[in-house]
Amino acid sequence: MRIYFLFFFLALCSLAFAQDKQLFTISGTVKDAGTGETLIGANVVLSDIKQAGTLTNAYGFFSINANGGTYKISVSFTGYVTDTFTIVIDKSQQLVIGMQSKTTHLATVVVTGKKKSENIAKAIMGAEKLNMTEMNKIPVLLGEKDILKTIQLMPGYKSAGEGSSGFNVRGGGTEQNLILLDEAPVYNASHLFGFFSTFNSDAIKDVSIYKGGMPAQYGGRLSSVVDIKMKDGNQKKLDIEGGLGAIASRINVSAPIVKDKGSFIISARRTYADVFLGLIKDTGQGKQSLYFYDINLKANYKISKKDRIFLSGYFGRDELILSNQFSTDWGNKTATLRWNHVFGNSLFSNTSLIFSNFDYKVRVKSGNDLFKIFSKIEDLNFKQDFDWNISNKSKLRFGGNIINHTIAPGAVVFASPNGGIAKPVQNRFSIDCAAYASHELKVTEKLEIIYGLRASSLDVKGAGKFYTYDKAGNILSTTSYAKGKTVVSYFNLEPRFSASYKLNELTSLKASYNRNVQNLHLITNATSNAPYDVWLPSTNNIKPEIADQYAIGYYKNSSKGMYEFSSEIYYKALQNQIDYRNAAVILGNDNVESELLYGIGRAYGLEMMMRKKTGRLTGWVGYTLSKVEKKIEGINNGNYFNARQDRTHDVSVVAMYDVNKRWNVSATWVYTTGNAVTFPTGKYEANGQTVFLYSDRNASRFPAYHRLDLGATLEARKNKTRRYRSSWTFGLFNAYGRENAYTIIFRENKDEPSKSEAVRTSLFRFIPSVTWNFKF
Amino acid sequence: MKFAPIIFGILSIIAFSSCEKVINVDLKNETPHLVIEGMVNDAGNPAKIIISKTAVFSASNSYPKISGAIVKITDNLGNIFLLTETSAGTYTNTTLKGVIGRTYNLTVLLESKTYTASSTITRKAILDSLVIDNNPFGGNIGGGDAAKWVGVSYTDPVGYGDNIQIVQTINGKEDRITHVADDLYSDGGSSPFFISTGKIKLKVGDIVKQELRFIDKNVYRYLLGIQNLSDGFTIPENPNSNISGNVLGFFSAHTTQTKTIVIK
Repeated sequence: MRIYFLFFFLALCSLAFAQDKQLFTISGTVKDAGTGETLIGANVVLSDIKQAGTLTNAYGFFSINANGGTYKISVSFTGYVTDTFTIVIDKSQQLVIGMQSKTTHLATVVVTGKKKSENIAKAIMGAEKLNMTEMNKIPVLLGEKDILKTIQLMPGYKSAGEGSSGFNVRGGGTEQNLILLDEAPVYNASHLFGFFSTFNSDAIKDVSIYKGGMPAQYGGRLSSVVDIKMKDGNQKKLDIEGGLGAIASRINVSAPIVKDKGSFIISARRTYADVFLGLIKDTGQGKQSLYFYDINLKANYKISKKDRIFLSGYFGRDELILSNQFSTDWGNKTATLRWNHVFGNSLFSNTSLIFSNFDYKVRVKSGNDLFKIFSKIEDLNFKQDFDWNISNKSKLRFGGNIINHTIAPGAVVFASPNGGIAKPVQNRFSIDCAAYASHELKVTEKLEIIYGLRASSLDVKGAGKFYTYDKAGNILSTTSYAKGKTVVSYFNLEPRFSASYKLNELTSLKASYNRNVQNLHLITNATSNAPYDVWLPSTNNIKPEIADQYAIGYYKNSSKGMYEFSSEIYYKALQNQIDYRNAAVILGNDNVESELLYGIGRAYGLEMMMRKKTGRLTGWVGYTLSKVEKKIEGINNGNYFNARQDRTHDVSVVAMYDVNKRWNVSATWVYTTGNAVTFPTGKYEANGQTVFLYSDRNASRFPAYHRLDLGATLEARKNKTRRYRSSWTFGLFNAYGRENAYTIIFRENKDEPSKSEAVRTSLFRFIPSVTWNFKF
Repeated sequence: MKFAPIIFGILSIIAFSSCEKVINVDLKNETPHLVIEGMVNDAGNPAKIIISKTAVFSASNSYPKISGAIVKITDNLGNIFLLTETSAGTYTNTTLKGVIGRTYNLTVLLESKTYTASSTITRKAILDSLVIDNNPFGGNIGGGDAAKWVGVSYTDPVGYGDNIQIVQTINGKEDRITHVADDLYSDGGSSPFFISTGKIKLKVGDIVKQELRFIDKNVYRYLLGIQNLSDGFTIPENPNSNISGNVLGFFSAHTTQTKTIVIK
């Protein structure tokens, strides 16, 4: 590791000295001219200088170096008219570039010239930026546009189950995805047992996803990063948008605080699933209801030319009341306060203070007894990031953060006239620190590399009792730690490397290696999507989970940029993976660590994607061939077994077609091998009942899953005298009514109890939806 | 854990717009395994060991009984009880009566292989009364009459680590469902444990008998494994038997008390 540091240091020095002192810096912000919304990932090119091109960062900021002279600047961004203008550079200067949105349909846009092929040249791999316009056209269950469902149509990202917003990335568990909303981690990104995600797409500006080659600024999860950024709000005028849907209604209001200086956005959504589910009848046992709501808020203000502050927040909650005997609610809260500052012209700084919380409550009345469960995970995070444009060939990102995690893992409060005391479950405290540096370098015209290092540590703190266990899970020793005292510390180095080599202007090869470490572990042995999960930090028993991922890729664009083809092969080795003893007691168990078993895992696969980017018909075809296995001592005789999410083949087809200026139709089709599951291999009698016999774990398969969804959007005729616009979205989920298996259970035959039968439960078939959207 | 079934009850609701269908699944068939189930109790009901074999999934639920075993139970005071085969595969002893504080060791000799297990009666919980209440998960989601269920009120001894089992008999028929609880949430209390009735809906006039057994930890984990299998929300696997020799089944020494109630 010391050698690595040395290399890193030398590279930095050589770059610092390589700077030409006669250079001027052109920096600035790229915005939507109509709304003032900053654009992330816009391509800014000084057309007369080789390699003088850059992408705007997460705040729309860019910086380019050039000698004095007259240049053409060209700015391009998907969905916007490319802006080209001439600039005389005689000093360093700041620009605000406004871009015109393509209000006309894609079909009427003529593709001019050769597009810069960022996907070919950039060293980053396994990364994808979701196109929000495209996403709004993709049909989804009950018409609720959903970014997490759209992600599941990309190769490498697989749904965790029918209707689920949980997803498995390159074989990883659903808890191995880092889902960030304005930098705040969202611990449970689903509503209504996973049928909807927590993200209201009206409030979202940009989504970047990473399944490999994660840049060093991201850490804490093994498998993927989903980086979601909320809109800043309209800086020019009041904007009201909304929709009435089959299951939810939403409203989105944004307006300037001071024109061109600051704005805010409020976005809210509420479902009426309770009505839909027919859960409204009063049975004389109190009311029944089931719904969720969420609110996104954001405000920003430009204090000076070089300073801008942002405050953003999210609040969402699900409530389920079955009767006066049972109720439960759960949800996330996040808040982010950020300050952007530009030092000089080329060093961009962002300082963030981030709060994140997920909690759930369960209230059960049983006779005269009252059980209450309360569980939460709460983070307080201070984060500093720098973005330094050293030269047009060299960019450095560095920074660090410190997170304070507080976890209340599901304590039970019991109240009864009959007495009885619930065993207390201790809260757990830990401090997570990380520092990183990542250097992006254009080595030659053809070779680009990004190399970086993330150093992360976790300190588990008291107060609390910590246990050691024998092999069978019995307590060997108990040690008490005072408040703030360190119980155990883990330090890990996470190298990240990726490179691209251009074979020609249209073709490139890429390779990457990255190590990721995860110090927060989701403890759940349930195969359902209930929110009753327990999170635990690494402890003296639970070691940090580690993933090493190697990937190579081949990328090719067609000469006019109409088609993009990509293919990646990956291998991932996983350490310190967690599994459970038979009949493990997870909830309300202070000794939950005694129920855990540990082992390793491996995942490998091939992913291919062909995308059509322009024309009236757009979309993609994705295919994944993959394998994921675990090896846990105490399970399956210590042999490798298929992880539940192991699915050999996975196909997704997405097509969108512009019929005319008003009609747009779309279709998606997915096909995957069924989940790896454990089916009985016989039966016997024990405790007076028929019990099924099981052998190898996850050696059987669910039937293959496939489904076709259809969608259509109709833009209402434009009212020329008013600003008012509206559209209709129609959808049909599972259009050919495939009965996909949600569960398969084995039981006694109802009529003939001496016989056993397999029963398949399937959920949604032929589910239509209509949504009416409006905009003032 | 008296409310585990309640927590899992809610999960079944998510199948709201679901469609159930009996399907054919191609299952592998394993060669028959040996199953040993045994119990010793403090009420003077005969100590009983049943030896059988597994069947294939598609067969009817009549399991081959295994005769010809030599079955013996000893206690930690050195008392030896031999069990005799009273019907095919069933071995009993009427003189063995379980005593609190004693450990019972089972030895089964079959086809020159020996299988052993041990189980201890540590203490007992007192069965106080039975109560009737509405079942919040009794199939009345979206309306309809509330279903009833019976709660077993018993006094849990002070100190964590006690486990009980309930055997429910409705109108003289065992419900063929495993009900077990720990005292993680209600140590030392005497709250009722409400017993699920599965697919059966209790009617006025039904006679419900509840047997309370105080079981040891290993038996509890075995039965909890069976209970979880029927919930269907965890990865299915064979419960860990407390009998040596890689067999299925369990050996339980426990206390037993019963009470009966008529549904009103």
